[in-house]
Amino acid sequence: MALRTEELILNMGPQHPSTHGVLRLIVTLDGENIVDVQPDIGYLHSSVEKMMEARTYLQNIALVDRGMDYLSAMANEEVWVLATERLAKIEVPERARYIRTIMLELQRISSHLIWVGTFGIDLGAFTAFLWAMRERERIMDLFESSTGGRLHHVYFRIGGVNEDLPEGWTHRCLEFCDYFMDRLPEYDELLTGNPIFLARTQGVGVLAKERAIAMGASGPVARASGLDYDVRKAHPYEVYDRMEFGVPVRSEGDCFARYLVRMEEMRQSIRIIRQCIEQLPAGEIRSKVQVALKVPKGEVYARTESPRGDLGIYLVADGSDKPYRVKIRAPAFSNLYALTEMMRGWKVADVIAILGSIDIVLSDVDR
Amino acid sequence: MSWELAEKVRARFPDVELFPRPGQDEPHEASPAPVPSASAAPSPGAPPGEAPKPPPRRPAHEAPPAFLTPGVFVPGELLLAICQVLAIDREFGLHYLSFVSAIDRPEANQFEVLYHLYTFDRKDELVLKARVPREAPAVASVASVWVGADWHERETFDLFGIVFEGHPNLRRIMMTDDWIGHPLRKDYVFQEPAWLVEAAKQRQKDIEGLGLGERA
Amino acid sequence: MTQSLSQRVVQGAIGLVVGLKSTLRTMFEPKITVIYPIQKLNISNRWHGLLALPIDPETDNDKCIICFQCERVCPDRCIHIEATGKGKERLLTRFDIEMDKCCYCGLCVEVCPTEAIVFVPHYEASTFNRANLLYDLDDLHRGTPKEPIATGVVKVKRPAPKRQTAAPREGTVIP
Ligand code: SF4
Ligand code: SF4
Repeated sequence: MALRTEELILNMGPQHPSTHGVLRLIVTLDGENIVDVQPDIGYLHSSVEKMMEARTYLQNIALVDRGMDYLSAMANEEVWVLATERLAKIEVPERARYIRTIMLELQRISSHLIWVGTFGIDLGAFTAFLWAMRERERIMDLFESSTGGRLHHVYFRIGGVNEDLPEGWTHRCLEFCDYFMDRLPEYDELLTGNPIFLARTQGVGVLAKERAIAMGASGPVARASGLDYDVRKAHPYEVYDRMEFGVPVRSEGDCFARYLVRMEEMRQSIRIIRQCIEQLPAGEIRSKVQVALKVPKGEVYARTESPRGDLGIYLVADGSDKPYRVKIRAPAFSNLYALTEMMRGWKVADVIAILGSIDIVLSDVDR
Repeated sequence: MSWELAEKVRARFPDVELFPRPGQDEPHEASPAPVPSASAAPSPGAPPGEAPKPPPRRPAHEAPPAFLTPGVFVPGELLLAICQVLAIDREFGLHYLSFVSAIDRPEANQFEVLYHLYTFDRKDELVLKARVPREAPAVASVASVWVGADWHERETFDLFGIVFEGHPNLRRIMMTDDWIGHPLRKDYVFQEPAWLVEAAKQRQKDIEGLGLGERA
Repeated sequence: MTQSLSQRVVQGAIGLVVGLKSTLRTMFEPKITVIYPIQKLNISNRWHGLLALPIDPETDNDKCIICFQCERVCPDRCIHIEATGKGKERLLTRFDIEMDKCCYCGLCVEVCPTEAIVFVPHYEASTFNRANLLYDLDDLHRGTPKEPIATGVVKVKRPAPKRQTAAPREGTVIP
C-alpha cells in the first residue's frame, strides 16, 4: 500500500536573503520535489513609467538610473537617450559614442561580477563574492572619477555625455583590463573547476531553446539555451558595429551554461573596451541640446543589450517637453517568467541555484 | 528596420492598416548615425572645432507623428487569428513577443493595445496595435500563441484595466489585489489608502511625543 | 550514480583544496582594507557629494544670480528659492535644499550659469534627526555636513596613516 502523501506549499520571501530582493516565491512541494513555483512580484513597483510622464526628457535620465535596474544604471540611461535621440533626430559626436560604449561594457562587467559573487554565495562559496567585489571596486573607482557617481551616474546626456574623460583615465582603464584578465583565471580555479560548484549547477534548471523563445527570455539566459541573439550584433547601436567581439552561446541551457556565458561575456567586454580605447577619437563630447528639449510627435522602439538581456523602451512623444508614454521592456521581467519552467521537477535545494542563475534585479522586474 | 514585413502583413490581411508614414522620403537609420563622411573617422588629435554641427531641427509641434518603428493597426476582433498566423507561418516567423502594453488616448476615447513582435530569422520587428474603446476595454488574449504574453497581459490589465479574454490567470500583478483604479491611465488620481493615512497620523503623534522631528 | 560515495568525497575535498589555494595566496598579499572613520579614501573631484554655494572671495558673497534654473531642472523638486528686490538690489531670502530628497544627479550644477552651486567632496550627511537634512543658505555657504556623525561617534584619535592605503587618485585631497 502506497504511503499517502500531501503537497506542501512553501512560502519563500519577500524577505529572504537569497531571493535577491523582495521577491516572493510560492513553491508547491511534493516531498523534496518541486511541483510548481509561482513568483509573486510587485513589491518594488514604483510605476516608473508613470513618473516619467511627469518629467522632462533631461530629468528622466536621473530617474531611469534608479527606477530601473540599479546594478547597471548606465545601460538604462543608454536606452533612454537612444530612444530620445532617434525620435528627435539628434546627432551624437563620435567621441561621445565611443565613451558610451566603454562605459556600457564596464557596466556589464561590474554587473556580471555582482552576479558571480551573489551566485557564489547562493551556492555556499563566499570567497567568490569578496573577490568579485574587489574587482568591481576598481570599476567603481573608474566610474567615480569620470562620472562622479558610483551607482547612479547620470552621465549620459541626450546628444552626448556629460563630461569628458579625465586625464589619464584611459590609461587607468587599460591597466584595469590587464589586471582583470589576470584575475579571471582565479575564478576558473575557484568555481569553474570546482566539483561542488559543478554538482550544484551542471544539468540543473534546464531551459530548452524553444521554450526560452516562447517565454520571451533574452540575454545570457537565452544564449545559454542556444539562442544566438545579441542586440549588439543584430541591431548595433553606438559603435558596436565597428567592434570585433564574439557572442558566447551554449546549448545546454542549464545553470552552468549561464555561468559560462557570463564569464565569457566579461572577456569579450574587455576586448571591446580595449578596441574602443585604441580607436577613441578626439573632439566634441556633446552636441547642443536645449535643457527643455521638445521632441517631435512620434513613436519609436529602441533596444539595447543590457547585462540582463534585451532592454527596450517604447517611447511615445507628443511634441511637448515631456514624454506622453514610456513603456519599458524589462529583460528580467521576461526572464523571471521562465523560472517556473526551469524549476519544475527539481529539488527544493535547487530553488536557490536556479533563481540565482537567471540574474534578476527586482527593480527591473517591477519597475 | 524595414517596412517590408509590415507591408507583407498588409498584403496578407487586407483589414490591417499600416502606420502612417509621413517621413517616408527622409531616411531613418537604425542607429543615430552621424554624417558619415565628415565624422566617421576623425583623426585623433583633430581640433575639436571641426566636429560637424548638428543639423537645425524643425519645430517640434505641428509636424505629423513619425512612426520610426514599423507596425500595423489590427482590428481587435481579428487580433488572435492574425497573431496565430504571424507566429506560425514561416513567411513571417514572428516567434518572439517582446512585450504587450497599451497607450491611453483619452481624446480619442480609446486604448491602443501594443504588441511588439520579433523574428530571429530575418532580424526584423513589427508592432501591432489594436484599438479598443475606453469603456469596457477588452481584447483577445494571445497567451495561447506566445506563452510569454501571460505576465505582460497581466501587467497591462493591472495598470490599464484592459481585459484579455481567454487569459488563463488574469489577476493584478504589480499592485495589490485590493487596489482601486489603474495607475497608468491618464485620468488616474492617486489616493492614499485610508489605512495608510491613519498609520502615518499615528506615527506622527508618536514622534511628537518623543520630541524628535523638530529642527535642532 | 556512477561514482561511489568515497570517490565523490575525495573529489569534493580536492575542489576545496584548489579553492583554498587561491585564498591562501591572497592572505599574503597587502591588505587593501581601510578602517573607515579613522582612515578615509581620497575621492574624485567629480564626486557627487553634498551641495554647496561657496563664498566668492572677491565679492564676499555667493555667485548666485537668482535665475531659478536649478530649481526648475531639479527632478526631485528639492530646491526652493525665494528672492526680493529688483535689479541690483535683488537679494536671496531663501535657498533651501532638501538633502533627503536630493538624488545627487548633478543637473542643478550643470545648468547653473555662474557655477554658483557646486558639489563639495563630503558625504557624511547622516544624522539622527531628519529635519537636519534641510540645508538652508547658511549651511550651503559653509559647505560641510551639519552633523558629522561618523567622526563624532567614534571617539578615537586619528593616528597618522602609516602608509598610503590606496593609490591616490587625481583630484582633490580632503584634509
Ligand atoms: S543634485 Fe539633482 S536632485 Fe539634488 S538638488 Fe541638484 S538637481 Fe536636485
Ligand atoms: S542656477 Fe545657479 S545662479 Fe541660478 S538660481 Fe540656481 S544657484 Fe543661483
